[in-house]
Amino acid sequence: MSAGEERDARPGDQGAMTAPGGTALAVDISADRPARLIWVAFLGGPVILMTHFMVVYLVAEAACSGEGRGLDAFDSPVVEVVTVTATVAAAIACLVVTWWNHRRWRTSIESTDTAAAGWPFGDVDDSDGGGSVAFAGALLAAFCCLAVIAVGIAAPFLPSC
Amino acid sequence: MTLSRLPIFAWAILVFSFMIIFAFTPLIIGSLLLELDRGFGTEFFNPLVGGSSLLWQHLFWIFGHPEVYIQFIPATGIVSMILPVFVRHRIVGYNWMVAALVGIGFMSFALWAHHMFTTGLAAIILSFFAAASMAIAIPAGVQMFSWLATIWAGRPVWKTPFLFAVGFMVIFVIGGITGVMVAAPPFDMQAHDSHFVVGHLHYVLIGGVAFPIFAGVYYWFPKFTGKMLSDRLGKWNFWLLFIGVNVTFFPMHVVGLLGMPRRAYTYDDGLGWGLYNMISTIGVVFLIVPGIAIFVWNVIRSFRRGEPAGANPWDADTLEWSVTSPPREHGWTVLPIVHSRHPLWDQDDLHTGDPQTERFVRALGGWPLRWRAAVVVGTATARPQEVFRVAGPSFWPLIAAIGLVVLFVGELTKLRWVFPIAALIMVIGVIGWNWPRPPDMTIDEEAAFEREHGVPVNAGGSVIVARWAMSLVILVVAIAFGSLMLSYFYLRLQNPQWPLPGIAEPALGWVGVAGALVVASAAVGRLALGRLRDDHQGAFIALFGAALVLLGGGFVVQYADLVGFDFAWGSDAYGSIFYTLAGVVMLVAAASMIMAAMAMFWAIRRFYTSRRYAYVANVVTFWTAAAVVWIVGFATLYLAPYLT
Repeated sequence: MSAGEERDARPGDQGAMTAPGGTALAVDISADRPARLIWVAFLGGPVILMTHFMVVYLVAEAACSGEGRGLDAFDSPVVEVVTVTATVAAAIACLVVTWWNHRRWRTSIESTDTAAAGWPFGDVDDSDGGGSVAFAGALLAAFCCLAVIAVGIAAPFLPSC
Repeated sequence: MTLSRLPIFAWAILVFSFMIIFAFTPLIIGSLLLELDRGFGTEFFNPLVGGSSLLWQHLFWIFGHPEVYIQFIPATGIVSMILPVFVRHRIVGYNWMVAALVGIGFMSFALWAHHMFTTGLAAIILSFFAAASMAIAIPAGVQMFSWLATIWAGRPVWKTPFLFAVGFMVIFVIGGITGVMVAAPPFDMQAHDSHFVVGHLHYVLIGGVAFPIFAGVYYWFPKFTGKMLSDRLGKWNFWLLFIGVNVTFFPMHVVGLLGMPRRAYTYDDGLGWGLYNMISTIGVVFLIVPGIAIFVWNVIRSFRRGEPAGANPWDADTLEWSVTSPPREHGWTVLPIVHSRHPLWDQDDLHTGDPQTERFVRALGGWPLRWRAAVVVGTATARPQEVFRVAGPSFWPLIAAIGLVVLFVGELTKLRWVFPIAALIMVIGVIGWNWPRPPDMTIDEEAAFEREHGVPVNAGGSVIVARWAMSLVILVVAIAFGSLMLSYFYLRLQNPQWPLPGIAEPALGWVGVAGALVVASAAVGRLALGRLRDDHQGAFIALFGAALVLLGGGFVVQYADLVGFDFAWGSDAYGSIFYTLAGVVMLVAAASMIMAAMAMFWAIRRFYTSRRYAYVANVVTFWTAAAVVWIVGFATLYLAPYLT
């Protein structure tokens, strides 16, 4: 028995679920890939939206409020270029997350249909493995795509400061 | 219960809880800077010496606008619970509603500067915030159409909770529309600080928050008390309030457009505002006040001799209605197994499920745990993953809170000699709160339960739950630190020269030494944790002690460097933000030092083992975060003056 195996062993725990460290890794999202993916996919859209918003706002604030050493790096047309570039990148990223969630949702529906015959407890809404959350995530990411475009679309038409 | 079966109210509370963390922390930092200016001579908001009054507005509104949604989101959760029950139909668009709640939660943090449209922000910045302010109407509209579709698909029962829910929809839509109006900068330039905004916010907060609260009280009062509120009085209550709110607050829009500023207690005759203010006064005195008086009377009367309520007087669908009214302190001996979003409508039996889960919940009911246990379930599958011990009742949090109150009272009354006493009370309170107690089960007993039911038990506390809790603490620290960093760079942008004239750039020697010591301490702390997991107690104690010494060394070196500077925190905005940011970074490091010292104290007593080490894991996680904060904070303070 190796040192690692010795460490993992607990009294009489043949076949036990306990993982190294003495607790169930299944509840540890950092080690539970399906659970982690659910959250990453679900929150992907809003996180992209907020990152985009803070980037374009902070660059515009630095360009329009600041003066002094180093801040000439933000002179025109940096604000317009950064805003348009960030907006295009963020919108594409939101679309990818939408597609990813949509695919997870479709996969979940198919697996639920397959499993339904063997599930006698009659889940009325869904008995998914996160498919419902994936659908909500797709909606959320699609909304975030719209919001990203709405925030950035004025940049080419307005004076930067 | 999987994530996709959570009641909308639970989703709302989840979103609301995270919003509180993100919104209140910048306010705490803003308040700290304000109090430092008012009480300790710093100059954050004094433009004459490099400060900026707009910095306060930013910090306040980063809290202030999400705060509206912090009130609104739980209210929408209440409405989403009530409407399906009173129309006898499942909520239409559950997933859309969840997406809308989360979307609003995030989006609300991109709107703060729409309260600052008249402060001279650049046109492009106005466009960012205006677009975001209008875009948030999309998820709010999704919610509204979801509720409308639910009513449309169902058969309404016009009881008082339902009336208030419908009243909420009507009034909130009016408030929302005027919200989109003030999101347009040209309109806002006209309406800003006028009574139009007062009318708007009352429609939003009374329609969007107060009406759902009334609906919730009428809905859940039978569950709280076992007595029904009078429906007849409830309808009087509703109609007086509904009419009263419109009579009182609608004229404010008109008088605002006529030019009446907000926060004006009197005005000259002949401005054309008198009639509208008279109508508002009539609405308050003759409609709103009697409406609220009827509500108070209804509560008192019904509490004393209301009609008895059964367990489920509304034939509702969610779990709370399956227990007695009022519920016993101990809800379920055998935990429910949920297969539906509407378990009481869809399930004949709350304790039937797949054989393994059924066996598990019945075992939990019969197993002599002797302590307060909680079950952790997987988010996607709802399979039981772990049983762990929840902290019992304790007076230590109260003592820590008393310390905090003493601190604030001391500052309010300028009796600053109480500060160390208050700090001591708080530290003692927190240490007492965290004082470890022997686990209620032996490792053999834990193993026996797990062997029998396939689910681990952690009577010594769950490492994973502790890690989640510590992650939230670190999130709060990160937001506070982020707010201070934003303040630093905002003040930098307001000044063409940085540091301000007459102040030299800080020397880089000692800060590097201190940073290296702190990073080394966190690394050695991690090594120590690894030794503990391997059950090498001696090596763990030696390494942990060495890590503590390294952290202390870094602290002392940095402190010595800071006291050598020739500028003061009260000299100008640069000095103020420099010492405040440095102080907060060192405070975070000091907190890890206290936590680590406590861990050391118990480690020497051999309290921790390879199985029971949640506290040490937490300390090391916080320590690592403190090291990151230290490096980023001091790198900003010492390097930014050279770079910008």
